[in-house]
Amino acid sequence: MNGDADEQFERFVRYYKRVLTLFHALGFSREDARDLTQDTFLRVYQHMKEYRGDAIWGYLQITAKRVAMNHIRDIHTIKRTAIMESEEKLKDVSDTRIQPADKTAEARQASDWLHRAVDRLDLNQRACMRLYLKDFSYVEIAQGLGLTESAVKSRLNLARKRLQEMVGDDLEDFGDEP
Amino acid sequence: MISKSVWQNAYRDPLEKEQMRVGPPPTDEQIEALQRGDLPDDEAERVREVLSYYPDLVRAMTMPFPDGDEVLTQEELADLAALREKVQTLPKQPAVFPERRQPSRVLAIAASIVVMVAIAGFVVWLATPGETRSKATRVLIADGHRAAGAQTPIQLSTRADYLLKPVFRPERSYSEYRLDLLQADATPRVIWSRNHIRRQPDGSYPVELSTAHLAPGLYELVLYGVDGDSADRMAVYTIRISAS
Repeated sequence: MNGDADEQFERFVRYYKRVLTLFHALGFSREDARDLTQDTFLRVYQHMKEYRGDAIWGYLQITAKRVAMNHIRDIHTIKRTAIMESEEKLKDVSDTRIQPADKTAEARQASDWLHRAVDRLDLNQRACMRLYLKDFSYVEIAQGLGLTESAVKSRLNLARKRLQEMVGDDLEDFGDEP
Repeated sequence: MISKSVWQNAYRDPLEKEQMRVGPPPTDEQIEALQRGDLPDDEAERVREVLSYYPDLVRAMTMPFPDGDEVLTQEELADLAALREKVQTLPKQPAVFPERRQPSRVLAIAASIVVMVAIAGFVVWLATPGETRSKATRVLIADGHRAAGAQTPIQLSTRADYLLKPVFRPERSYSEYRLDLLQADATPRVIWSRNHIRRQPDGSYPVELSTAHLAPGLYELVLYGVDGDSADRMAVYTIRISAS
């Protein structure tokens, strides 16, 4: 490696620990977090000629987040493939054999009903409500979905009213941020 | 009374069933276009809808980098050493400010051989009747500004070369402009970069594109406004190059 590129790369490597900590915080296993950190820095090195002198930390954050998101997509692809394969294998097996043991039919029914209620919200309210129920803050929902915070609040208010109409009862604790 | 926690419990269940129904998660390009506000309203809502079934992806997008201990453990130091070793085995990257070096004698001989082989190849190519590649001029409208099918990539073919004329009206003028062509698959990489581009009186930034050595697939042409060391990303033109 020539001197300048080597020196440039070392400026990135100073942030090794912070990148590793992000992958841990995102819930990846210890081994995955280590691998993804290495991937991030290898990718930085391989794309060094595209680096235009922006803030090193900002550049690393974008790269690390892309690596994380690609890994998450890969996991979903593997899951999808496994589900499709297992559905194919289990298509002739009675339903009772493939029900998860930890959940009663009643609980499953209730859960399905709640999902369906959210699915019946207007298109522009559903995504906000799903993330809200997954404990995302207003700011995070806004960042994730490319909306303003006030748009998120307004959509959630309308969604709450609509859900209340559907359940015909009060919705407890639905007014606050997670 | 149904409390929020009851609803949250329902959403604590794995979402695989719903994910199978809505399809794979949005790509980086879709997410970036969504966040730039480049998608038409109905497309933006569709991407948001799919994204909401992938909270882990949203978490990765929004989670701030944790502050904390910068001191590396023994294991992390070993990983870092392994990374430096791996980097040494990779193809050499050009330095940001490359030093001018004297070529060695062996390198000079190798370069002469390469030049001679190239000349011989060129002569053979001239003598061989072959397929003439056509050249087409295409005016490109930026993503999010194309009226119909705003998210449909611009279609090009590997069978032709092009004079591309991306058009865009910047908010302010820049001393010059740059165009990057990126392969826009799962791991985007820059194919080439053209500097010192001038905006033409018709509002275009012409650039030649030879597709002969490009693999069919999705690409992004990205336009930057450049002033000195700083470059502002101004517009993206998503292109699909097909073999037909």
